[in-house]
Amino acid sequence: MTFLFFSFVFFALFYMHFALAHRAWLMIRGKQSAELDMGYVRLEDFFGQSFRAKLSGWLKTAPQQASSTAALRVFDRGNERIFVAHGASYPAGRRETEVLVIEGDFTCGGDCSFERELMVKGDCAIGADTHLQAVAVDGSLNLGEGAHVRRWVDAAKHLTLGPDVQVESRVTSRSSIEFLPGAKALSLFASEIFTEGRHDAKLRVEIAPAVIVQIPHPASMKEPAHGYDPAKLHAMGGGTYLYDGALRVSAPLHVTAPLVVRGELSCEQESLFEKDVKAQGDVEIGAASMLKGNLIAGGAMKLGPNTYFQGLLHAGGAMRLARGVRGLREKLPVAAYAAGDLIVESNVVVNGKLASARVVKALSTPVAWLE
Amino acid sequence: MAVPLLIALSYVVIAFSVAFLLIYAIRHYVFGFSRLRIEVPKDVMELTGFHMPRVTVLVPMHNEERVAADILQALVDCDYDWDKLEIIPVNDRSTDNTRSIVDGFARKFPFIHPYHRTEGAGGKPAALVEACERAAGEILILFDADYVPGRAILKMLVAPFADPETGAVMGRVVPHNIGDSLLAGLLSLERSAGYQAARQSRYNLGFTAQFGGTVGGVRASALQAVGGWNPESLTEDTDLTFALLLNGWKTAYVNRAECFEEVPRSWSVRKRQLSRWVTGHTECLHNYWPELMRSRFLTGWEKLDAVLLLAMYWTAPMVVLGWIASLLLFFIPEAHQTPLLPLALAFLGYQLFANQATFLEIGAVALLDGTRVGTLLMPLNLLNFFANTGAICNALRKYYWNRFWGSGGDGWYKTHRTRLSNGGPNGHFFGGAHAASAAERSAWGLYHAQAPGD
Amino acid sequence: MLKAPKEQTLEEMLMSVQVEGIRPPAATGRSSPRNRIYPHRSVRSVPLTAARVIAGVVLALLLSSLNAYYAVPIMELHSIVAAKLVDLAGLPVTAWPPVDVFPGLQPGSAPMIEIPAFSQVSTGARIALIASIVMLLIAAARFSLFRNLAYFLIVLLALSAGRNLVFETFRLQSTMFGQVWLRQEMLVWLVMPWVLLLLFVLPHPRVAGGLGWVIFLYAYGFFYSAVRMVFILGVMHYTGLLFMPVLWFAFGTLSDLLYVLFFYSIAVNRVSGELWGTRSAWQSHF
Repeated sequence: MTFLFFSFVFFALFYMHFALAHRAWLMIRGKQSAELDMGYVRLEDFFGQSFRAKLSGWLKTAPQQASSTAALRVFDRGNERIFVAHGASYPAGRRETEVLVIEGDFTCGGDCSFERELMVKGDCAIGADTHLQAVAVDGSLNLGEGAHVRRWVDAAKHLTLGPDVQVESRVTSRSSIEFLPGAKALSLFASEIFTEGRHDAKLRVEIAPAVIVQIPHPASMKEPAHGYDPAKLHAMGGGTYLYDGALRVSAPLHVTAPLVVRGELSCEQESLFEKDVKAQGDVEIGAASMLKGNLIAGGAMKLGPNTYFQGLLHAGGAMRLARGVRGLREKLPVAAYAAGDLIVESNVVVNGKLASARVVKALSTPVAWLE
Repeated sequence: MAVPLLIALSYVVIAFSVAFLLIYAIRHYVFGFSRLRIEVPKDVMELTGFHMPRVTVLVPMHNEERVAADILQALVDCDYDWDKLEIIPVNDRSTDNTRSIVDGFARKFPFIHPYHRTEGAGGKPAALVEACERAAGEILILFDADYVPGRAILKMLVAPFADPETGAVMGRVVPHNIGDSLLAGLLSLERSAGYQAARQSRYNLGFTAQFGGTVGGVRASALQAVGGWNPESLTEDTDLTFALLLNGWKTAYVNRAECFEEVPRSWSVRKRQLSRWVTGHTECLHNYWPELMRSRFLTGWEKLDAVLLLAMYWTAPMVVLGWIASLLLFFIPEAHQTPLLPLALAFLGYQLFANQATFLEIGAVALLDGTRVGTLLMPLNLLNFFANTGAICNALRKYYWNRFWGSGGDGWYKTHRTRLSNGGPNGHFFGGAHAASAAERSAWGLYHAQAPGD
Repeated sequence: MLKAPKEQTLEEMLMSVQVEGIRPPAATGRSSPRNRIYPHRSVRSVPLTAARVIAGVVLALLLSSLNAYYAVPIMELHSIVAAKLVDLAGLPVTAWPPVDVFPGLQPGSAPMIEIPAFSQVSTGARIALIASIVMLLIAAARFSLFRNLAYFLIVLLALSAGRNLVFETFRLQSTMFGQVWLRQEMLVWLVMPWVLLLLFVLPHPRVAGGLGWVIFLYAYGFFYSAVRMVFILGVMHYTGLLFMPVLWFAFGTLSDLLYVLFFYSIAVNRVSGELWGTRSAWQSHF
């Protein structure tokens, strides 16, 4: 009898190991998963647009404080408030702790601090060394030297990221972004992104040697030449080729078919890639080259001066766009993404997006340095 | 004489079984921890929307009148540029109302080009072979008819094809019917681990992710290069993954490209599904392993990973063989006196270690996904483990019997689904109507006048 | 209250708002607002910190070493706990003679209790065997997911009965059972700290939390092992070896797996909800 009781306790203990699972099952029984947001659409300026939409909702639903005036309306939103004004100009050193909505233009002096979001419906100029949470501007925006934004920046018109400005998240503009030396952001997206000196004289590039390495090579080519070994080129099918090993070509490279390189890839100036190219290692493209397809690197990527790309750039490591690089194509924007740092030199113009998992940084590289 | 031999044989079997399963345990631990600590998952989400080639979406359908309208409407509502989009509903000899539903959509949307199949071999692979001949897209995206794609999924699935090495791409499937049965709830855990942990880790570690035949795509030129779909295969998706791999193409994985699916709610359906997978997978193993070993395109690790992936169903008979050997030792009195008995016991102890490895993946995914209630189901997953072990062994037994004695194997059959037409863009999953605006579908497709809140 | 005189400029009004300090109570300690954002699950990660790895490995090494070094006292303690449970269960254990567990190691002790041969097993036990098989068949028919396991258990019961029929005189000494049990559990305890390290310490955001789970589970496993051993011993005492293989299978290392799994599911559930589940844990630039 005692053992029967012991057995009962034992089985109770044994069941305990399933009890929570049993309970969990009863909780989910008959239910459907709602994990996914089926209506999700990826938007580059999501933060700015989302904030505008939310703000609009808050202003409709949040109660307005009795002390509001025509010039300043104050809305209560639980643990924060929203100040709405027609236009304002802050002196240097101001500290703002609430959400601020300016219906006209807005300027602030240096060293201000905005602990919550700032929304400006007109044009906006932010003084040097100012700290911001996030900024949405319906007009143009100028972030002064050394300004720091903890989250995102979005402007409908021209946006200037002054020298040494730091934005920890995304920067978007429906018009253009001027990305001045020392400025940093996680990503930039605009119809046109350009760095300093875009109208400077062009960097002189030496005329390339007459020899060109072509991939796939002509049937007559049997022996290795200029760093290219025809025996290492294999057809993957579907018109795509694989080069089995590192490809360091000491001449301009002309790629006429999609190519995968099992190693590093480097080529001389005035190379022409007509199709998509991927290298599993680092990639270094010579000056004044033309990339008509996408270029993917497993490691770091460097585009030489005055290179023109018409597709996507994707680097598993750092990326550097040298002086004079242009990214542009018809109908679709281009994009460059690096898992490491993305360094953008002077006089670079990209119609689309620059993004990094770490930081996108503008670097001053005057022509005088290079020549 | 026979008894000592039997005892020795049991020890050999146990040792082999332990070694075999240990490899898989290590593999699971590596994938689990690798996924946990990936700081920058290898993905091309930042390029989503910037690579927009011409795409053909293939939707194989066989008597899908309950769900056909849902998936077609969901695809139409996707934010992919209509000028670059072609949808081919592959109506494979349906006897219900599927044809008229599909034709209705085709009249309304000129980029929907139905293909009504009335004869020829049955099954999805055979239907795909014919449909692909009519596809105009550079990229072929596949959805089973009962799946409900989200609005951004096409751009996400297409983005990896910017890489010329990508031959195929796979998205993440997420079971929606978790509460239909205990089995469905447990399969949800299994699916999460398989996608969020295993596939993402394998992709990050440089191994090929496995193409699953739905919520995925393939480059048309690559498909053509490897001879197209294998209509003989029960798992044409796995077959294609390895055919591509042998030619140097990789399968990419897009963790963010999530899509609801319906997992089997009854064991009989699950058993048949599992049986098909086991047979198809094992067939691929036999077809491809010699070539995989010789492939010039693969590194040693890639070869090992590929073979382990294809041989994964062998773990079930290995577990059973180990148990049988342990039982033999238990039932033979002489074995009790041998000093090697601890080895047999070590096997049992090892089960603890090995089996936990798969649960680590489930736990890791629960942390990442923020799953709470479902995680508590884990102890009941032991039932799933035993059920799977039996079903896999049975399927392998049938497969090898057929292979050696030449009798006909299983044919291709459709996994039975139970979902009614309530999950489309105007139903449950979307929480209301969604109509893609022209701006969203435009080439840029990057701005949205009224962005949803987070 | 907002006290903004009408004659003030907007700038002054805003200033006055701040000067008068009518900010919400948060001014005295509200968190920094909307730090960054909550990343999608597809890009989340749980970084492995050196502290967690080192602490976990040190603890696992310590526990395994202690287990090896103090194997004899641990086995002794196990026997003491088991002896208490034997008393509670009312089992007539007559002695705890020493048994060799591993070569080169001092012996542990195992319980001595009468285990009847098949011919001596009571009719009640035989009926229980048949009833178990019938129950398993019913369960197999009713719960399809349980079917394979049920069939396996039925086969074990049938084999066990068959074996006892064939070798009617075969008897397993309870001391031998105790010896094999100790061997198995000692091996499990050697492996366990490493399993627990992987499951509980490395993914746990708090080092102390992970280590706490390991120590708790080690203690629980020790106690639960004694409970299981006593239960199997009792069943063997009353039914002979009829249920032995089933019990060994269900309550042997499979049960070790089960309790680890049970507590793992709780640990993940709590961690997922309490820390990794909160937004602050996933702050991201994206």
